[in-house]
Amino acid sequence: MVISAEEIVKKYKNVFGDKIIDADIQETTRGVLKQKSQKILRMKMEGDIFHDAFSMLCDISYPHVSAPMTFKLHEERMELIYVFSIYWGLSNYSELPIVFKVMIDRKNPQIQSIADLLPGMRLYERETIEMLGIDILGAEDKRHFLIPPSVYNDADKNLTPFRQDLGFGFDDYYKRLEEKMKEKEKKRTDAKDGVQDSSEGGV
Amino acid sequence: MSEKISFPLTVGPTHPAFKEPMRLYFRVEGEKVVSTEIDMGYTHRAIEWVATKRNFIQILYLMERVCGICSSTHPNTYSLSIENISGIDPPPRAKYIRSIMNELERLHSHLLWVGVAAHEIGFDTAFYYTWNIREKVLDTLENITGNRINYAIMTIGGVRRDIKENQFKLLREVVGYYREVYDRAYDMFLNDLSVRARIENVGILTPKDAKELCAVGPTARASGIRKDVRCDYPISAYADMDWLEPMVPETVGKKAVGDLYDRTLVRILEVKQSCDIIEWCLDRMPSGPILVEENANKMINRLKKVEGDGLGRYEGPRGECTHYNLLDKKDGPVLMKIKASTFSNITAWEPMFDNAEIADIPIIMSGIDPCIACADRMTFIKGNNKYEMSTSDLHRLSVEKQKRFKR
Repeated sequence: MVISAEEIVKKYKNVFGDKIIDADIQETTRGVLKQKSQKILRMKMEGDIFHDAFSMLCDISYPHVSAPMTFKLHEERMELIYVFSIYWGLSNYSELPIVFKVMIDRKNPQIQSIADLLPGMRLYERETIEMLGIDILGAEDKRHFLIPPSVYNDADKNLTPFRQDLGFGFDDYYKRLEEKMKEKEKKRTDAKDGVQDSSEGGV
Repeated sequence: MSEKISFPLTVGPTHPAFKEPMRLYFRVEGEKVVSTEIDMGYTHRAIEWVATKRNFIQILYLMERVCGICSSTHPNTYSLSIENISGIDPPPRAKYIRSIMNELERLHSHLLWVGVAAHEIGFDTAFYYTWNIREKVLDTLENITGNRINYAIMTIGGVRRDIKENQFKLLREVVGYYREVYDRAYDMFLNDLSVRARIENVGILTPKDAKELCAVGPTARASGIRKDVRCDYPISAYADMDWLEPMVPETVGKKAVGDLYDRTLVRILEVKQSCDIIEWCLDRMPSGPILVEENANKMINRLKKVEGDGLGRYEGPRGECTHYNLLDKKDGPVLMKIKASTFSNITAWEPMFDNAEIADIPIIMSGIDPCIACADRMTFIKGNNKYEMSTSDLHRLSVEKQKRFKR
């Protein structure tokens, strides 16, 4: 059964009350010959209800994960943004992207794994652990996945590429890399100059 | 009864079946694969981080370089994401040109894959045949955009180049050409007994696994999952095509098994579907402008006033591609997230490799059309003895298996 975005919001607010901080439905018109509307549902929620909220989404319709997690920083907290979609495979404008914006602590970020409900999340969760330094509670595999070992060797151990504020981010890493390259270039130029000098001396 | 002993087998990070380096750790019992583990990141370029250092227009050209094949898919999805949050609606003609470009890209991507798949099973005649016919679409792309790949045609609020009257004729010729060669290609890949012996019931992905592992594109559709963003959440001219249906094995009355045969079938059916879409768009091409704002600086200034987050989704040749951008009144996104199609399909490799034969590893790897590069060797470790297999050894194994079927 397909229930509308508005009804989904109502259902979530009934079950989770104030834990649903905000909900917004964006409507866009598509098509040239025929105008049809498309929606995106965005829901901001507290981190402690995330697993239950996702479980409820699975009951409404089996979700597909559209994008791995991205984030937005606030003063004390951060939003971890999940993009799912439901009603896929029914064709004809049926699909509804649902964006969960989960509020978690900024300095000690933790969130419950949902790979038990959606096994396809496993790699995305590993990516999130690695890129954002977030502890995914209950994740079976927390190993690094995308950043090559050489980067970890060059960087500090607490490399969190997209969280400059949390540890050692890509900004620091590339600054360090640039300094290293400059140093290398300087050594090369010095050595070259030295060779030229001696040859000039020889002449 | 003798106890079964399993051995580790590492494929990659560089391997001819890959277009980019990655590593797969297998455990094998004799010729059978019993477990698979995936290791990635050999070419991580931090492209999302790099994007945050560029402005909205510069990012378009960076997005073309996320993938060598999908150089229309990524800038298109990125543009959709920015348009989603800024409320920019491209002119009708631009929407149709976008769809034509996307389908030309799908044509050349699928033809490339079919050729690669043929090569993986030692059927090089078919490999040369498909890569030869693929030239026609690449020439057309070059004629329209000036480049065979990295077309630089997508932009925020429309497209950068129009399709001229003489190019309409060219596009119709290309569509006609592919319809002419279609039956031969279909017959070569789907009816040939020795090809069928190599791809039928190999690398099976069940509908349940495809659903749970969030597989996308032809990989999911071959398992009977009717998932296609062009139909489920259509953009550009696709939104006008009420007749558009996801291509699944059932389209031709075949029960979906989710094996390599079905993946080949779906891609070949989509070649024909792309031709239909291009022709449909040409017949109904709206007139008028192709861009909302020609001046890039004015566009950047307009986007600098926008705050919020935008979602862009599009069905690329390999499946759903998603871009999520966060805008905060700057001259570029403060954060962007890209989900390429292959990332969704990688997890689906694990069930596909279960009980596969070593000689089938290359074709199963290629089955999802991974965006991963090629290279050289694999190493077997048996007890304390280590010996290596070169590209030619692996190719030989594959050819030998092919010959066995021909006998």
